[in-house]
Amino acid sequence: MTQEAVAEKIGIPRSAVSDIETGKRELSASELFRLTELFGESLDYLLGLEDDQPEEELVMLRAEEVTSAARAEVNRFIHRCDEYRELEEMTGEVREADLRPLRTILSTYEQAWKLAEDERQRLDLGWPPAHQLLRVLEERVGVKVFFLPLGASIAGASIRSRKFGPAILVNRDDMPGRRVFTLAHEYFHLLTEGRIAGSKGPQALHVCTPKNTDGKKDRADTLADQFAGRLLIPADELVEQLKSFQKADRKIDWFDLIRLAQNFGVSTQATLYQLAARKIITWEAYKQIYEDPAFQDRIVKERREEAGPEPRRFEQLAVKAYLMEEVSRARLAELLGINVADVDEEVDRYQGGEGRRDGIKLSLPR
Amino acid sequence: MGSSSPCLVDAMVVIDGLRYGFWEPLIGGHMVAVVEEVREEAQHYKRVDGEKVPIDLKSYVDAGRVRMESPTVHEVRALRQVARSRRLDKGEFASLALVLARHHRFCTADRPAVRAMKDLGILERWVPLEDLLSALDPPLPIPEAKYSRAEAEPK
Repeated sequence: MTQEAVAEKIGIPRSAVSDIETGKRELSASELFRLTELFGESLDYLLGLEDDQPEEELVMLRAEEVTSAARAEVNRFIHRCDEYRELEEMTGEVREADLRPLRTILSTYEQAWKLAEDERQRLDLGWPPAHQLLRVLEERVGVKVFFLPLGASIAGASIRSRKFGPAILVNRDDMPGRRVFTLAHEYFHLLTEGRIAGSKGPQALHVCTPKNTDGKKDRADTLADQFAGRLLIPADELVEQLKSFQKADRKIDWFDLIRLAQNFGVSTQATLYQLAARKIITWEAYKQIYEDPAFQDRIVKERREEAGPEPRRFEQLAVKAYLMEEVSRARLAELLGINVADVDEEVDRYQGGEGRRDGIKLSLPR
Repeated sequence: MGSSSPCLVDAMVVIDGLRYGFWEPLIGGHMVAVVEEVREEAQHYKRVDGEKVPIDLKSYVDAGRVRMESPTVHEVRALRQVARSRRLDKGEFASLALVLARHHRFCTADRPAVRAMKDLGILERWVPLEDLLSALDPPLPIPEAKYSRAEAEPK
């Protein structure tokens, strides 16, 4: 990053950055805090207080071939996961992950599809799976999920950390249908940990950029897409819906295609792709529809549509930690990304009105 | 209060000071200081009717009525070496770095922040708002119970 860029981001003249670099001027605490935000690095790292052995996941990240912007975002995600774990500990809600990683090496689309069917049943995702996936991963499987604005540099990332467990990062800038697809895609990486024939090999950290530098997709990403498609769009349900939509000439119109995507809670683009991948339409038809300006217009419109489901558990834990007086009010505001003056309203939203209430006694079956 | 060291305040003291009308008497009667992060946090307050009113803390600093203080990186580092948990935000952290290094006083009603001062062995530098308001001439009552010494003091 250039001196100009750093100067602009932390709000000081370029000459001041130069003076700081050459030791002529000392960095202020405020500038230090802004640098942690700019680079996504922890305060301890910038203060040189990180342990001699840096956290495993940060070592992995430093070995990833990603841009500096992407690295800052994934850094931020890893530090958010650390905070998440800390909140779990403060509130006594540490959750052991119910993740069953594969022990075999995957090589075919059929194996990815089978894994998707098995997981959909194991997780009891119901229908449509897209509407339940986020909640089930957060609450039942114990995956830490963050939607952060990543621009165009990263589609998503996933990590299995010894410290904070499995976690998924999804690009908030994507439309809701795309986000859920990324969530399923990254879940595949958590399950397989890179045990894919012809791939980079076992990985605990996986950063998915929109396209690889050579324009090719890694085999693990190709299989992850196959897994995500099958997890979110069950074959039998797809066929049943298409049967009910088709007319006497065995055609469906664009309205039906869009309705199909809405019913499954995924993007129209992903739905169209699945129709071709499952040989329900030809690849020629896929290309023709995909390249139609009206279809591209539909993709743009979907980006503007109402936001889909959001991860909640991190925010819930932060509010709980505040109510337990484990974190300060200003810290809660920082964790939720809100202004400190708005904390009361936000807390009321979570606890259903002002004031503390007595606990509710439960009688659960043993 | 009889102390020459500045008294740092947290963002809620600024926000509630303007909301409840004790801000002007407070900065008139005491040497009040804020860190840069608190200036950034105290962006608006809500009037009783719910309307948001913007806060221009910088104008008080520019007029010399409120001091702006900033710890050095070494002072932040010194605090971080003894306080590793992330229970406090940047503004509270910067304020405590100054309390630790320069013996400033700190006014907050936030219990985790007061507890952190106790854990750091600097509780004597904590000033409840109740003490600041009662030392004014004429003394002012606290606007909410949370600002009393008894409410915020670690048990």
